[in-house]
Amino acid sequence: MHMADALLNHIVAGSMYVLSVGGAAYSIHKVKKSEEPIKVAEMGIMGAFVFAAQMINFSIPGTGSSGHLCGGMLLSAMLGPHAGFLTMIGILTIQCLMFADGGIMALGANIWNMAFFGCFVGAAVIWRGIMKKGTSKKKIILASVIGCVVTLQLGAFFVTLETMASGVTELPFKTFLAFMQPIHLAIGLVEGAITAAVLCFVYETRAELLWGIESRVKADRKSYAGVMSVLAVVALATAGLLSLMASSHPDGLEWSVEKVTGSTELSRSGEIYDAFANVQETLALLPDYAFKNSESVAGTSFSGILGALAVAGVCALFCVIVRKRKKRI
Amino acid sequence: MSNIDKAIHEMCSMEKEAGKDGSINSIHPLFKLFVTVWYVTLTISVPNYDVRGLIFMMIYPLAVFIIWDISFVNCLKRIKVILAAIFLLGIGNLLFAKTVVVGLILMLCLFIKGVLSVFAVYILAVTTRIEDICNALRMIKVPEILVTVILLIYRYTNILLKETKRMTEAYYMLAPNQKGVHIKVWGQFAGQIMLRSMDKAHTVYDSMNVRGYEWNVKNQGYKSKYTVKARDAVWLFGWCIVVAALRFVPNYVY
Repeated sequence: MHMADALLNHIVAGSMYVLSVGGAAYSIHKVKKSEEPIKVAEMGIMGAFVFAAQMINFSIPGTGSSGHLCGGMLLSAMLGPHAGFLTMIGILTIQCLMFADGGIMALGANIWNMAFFGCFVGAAVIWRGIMKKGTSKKKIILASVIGCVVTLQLGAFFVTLETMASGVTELPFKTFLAFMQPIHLAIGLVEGAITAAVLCFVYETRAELLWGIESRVKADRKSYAGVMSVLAVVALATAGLLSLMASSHPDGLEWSVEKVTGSTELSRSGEIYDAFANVQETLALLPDYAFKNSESVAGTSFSGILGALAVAGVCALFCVIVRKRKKRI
Repeated sequence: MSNIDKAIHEMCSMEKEAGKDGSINSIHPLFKLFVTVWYVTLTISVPNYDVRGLIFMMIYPLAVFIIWDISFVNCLKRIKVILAAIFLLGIGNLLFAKTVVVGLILMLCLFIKGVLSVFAVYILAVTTRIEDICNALRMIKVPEILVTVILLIYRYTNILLKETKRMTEAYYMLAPNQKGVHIKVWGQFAGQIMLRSMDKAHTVYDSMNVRGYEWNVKNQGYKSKYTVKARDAVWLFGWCIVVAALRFVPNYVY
């Protein structure tokens, strides 16, 4: 789909440059703004992979034609739409400046046709949309095939539009479109199959490398925080409100003791027992889950909430200490 | 020679050719880039049916090919696929034009424009190393991330091709009588190449980092390598004037 300079006039070529530079500026801004560090090495090697893949032309059965991978969808599924777009610009620039593949004036149009649709429509719309509610191999296949077909169709349509707008050909618009769209449908299907096969392999072996999956993990982290918040609210409600409806009957142990001795509490006397009882009475802020020397029900609620918070605090402190020790090791 | 060997060989020979000590190779890369863009812009601005105008425009690439001894045969070999694509589109015009003569002229125009602009870019590619082109891009304030990605893609392509070669050889040793990689394992094979190359690329990148490389630190050191000399200025203004003359003077003369 690399357009040659001869297919465009300077006005259309310039306009496409403006659009592509706009896309690049936006992508650079988003990549720099992103919280994650810029994966320059991944961008380089994935770019090299797509660059090499574009060198391999495959035959389109029954047409006598051949096509090659566009790669925007594959790149963006691995790097995200913004980094993917920048990488595609790199690939197309090298092809243009080092191998004379795709014209230097047509570079803007090529970036738009091959990179913009592949990365922004393919990944940001189709891939993200399909992976929204979880990921599976079937979804990856579906996203890859739909993404490649749709983005190549859009790219081919724009090649036709740009050529016609440049007025460099006598081909009627419909005829040109009738040539371009079906052949790119076939190329899109083959590309979709190859993309799906590669992405499924990555999903099986190192799923964290996939762009959609990574954000899914983040989403899971967010939902984990949500679950924890709900649990905290439930715990406080239980401690503060449901504790008021607690049964006043003795618990299992007390009940057993009562059956044996006739009382729920065993009285023991002695210096050691008395000393410990005194310490406990002094330290206990809320003896028997109530304010000291008070029968108020608010004491029970307050005891429940304070107890829940204290337990959570102790657990959190324990986790922090363990994590610090692990880091030291 | 296998396709992968050919690809590696092709990349190396292009780089070798670009890195030669010839006088055209040492011209300021930014000036070469500017002349190329100027030439292509003026070439594609020639009206559609003006074959005569395009014939004048042939002088620039032909002169460079002859004076600086750039192999025309190698050029045709390397760009044959691109030329075939332009030719096919030209034939489309022949079939759908109002008259055969109009179609023929338009086809010829399209083909010449395509060939000339590809020749111009080829001249740039075969006389300028990737580092020089990237530095020229830096000089015109192309964002550093884009320049870095371009450089890394070019350098990592070699790693990827070598990894592919290694895996292909291992595959053929396991399946000696098989022709090509079986379709059932295409995904795994390509995925494996990608992941292995990614790991290798990380190792290389980490090595670069521990030696003090940081892609986002502005390196101004390259500027001292490119001092503008008189011949650079002659190249830039000379060709700009000549190309503009080739494009516009015939319109007044004829």
